[in-house]
Amino acid sequence: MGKLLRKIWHDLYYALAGETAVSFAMHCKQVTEQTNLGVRPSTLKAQLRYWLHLSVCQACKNYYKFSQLVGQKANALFAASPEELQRLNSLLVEQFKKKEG
Amino acid sequence: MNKDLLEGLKNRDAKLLEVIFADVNPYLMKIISANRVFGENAEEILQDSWATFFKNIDRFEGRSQIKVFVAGIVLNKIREQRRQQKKLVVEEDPQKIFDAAFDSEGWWMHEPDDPQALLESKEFLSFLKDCLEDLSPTQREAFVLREVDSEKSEEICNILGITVTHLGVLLFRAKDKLRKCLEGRMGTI
Repeated sequence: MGKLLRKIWHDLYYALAGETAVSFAMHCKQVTEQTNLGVRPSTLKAQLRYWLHLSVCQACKNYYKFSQLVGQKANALFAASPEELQRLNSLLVEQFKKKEG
Repeated sequence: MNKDLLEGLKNRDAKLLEVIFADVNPYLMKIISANRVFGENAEEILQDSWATFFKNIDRFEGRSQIKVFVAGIVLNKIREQRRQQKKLVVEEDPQKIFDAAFDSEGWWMHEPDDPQALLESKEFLSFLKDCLEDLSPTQREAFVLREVDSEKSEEICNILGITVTHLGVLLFRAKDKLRKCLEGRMGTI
């Protein structure tokens, strides 16, 4: 049911946007690819196409939210402690700096 | 990269090394630990990678960022270590899985749910750690480079030696597996 409503909503959005809308509107597959690659659309039109789709498509919005969520959490999960990094950096400087004399 | 910086690196200027290590190592350590290499092994990979970098510094020429260049070396070291452990991983065709997630018009076959419920679990981080273990090495590498450090796709493709299309499907597959795994874990609470 949700999917059907979403499809109707997409179709309505295409129809309202006029004749050129079919090439303007994006499908979920294209939006998902863009979300995954994190490519910032180069033109205002391309940005509008992407964000417009996200604003009308709950499924793609959910996918986008999930991507953000796991990225942020994994970032926190794998960050080394500042103390550990400090120790490693000092060790590496000692190892690789040019030795005097 | 400016010539002075490159010269400073070639001369192993201690002050410059401190700045470079402080800038790049947090990123490298994330890549290493996300690839399930910890403790002394992680330290060894970091040291070996910088040793390789300084050994090949004439080939570096500053055409890419230092962190991208060394990240490539780090991943090669991790792969080398894995090969030594003779771990055979058979990977499925991610393109097929990506295509199968959408119908012929490009609509979702099974629409993703709102991830809000996942956030509400106190055990989310521990589940995420476990679920990342289930990703194949290539999926994990792509996921970590893209999602953890928001590295640009072109840079990730340079590091992994893959095309943008392949990267897209790898990331899709990685997230698809993570979502299923996380939902499965939540369901068992």
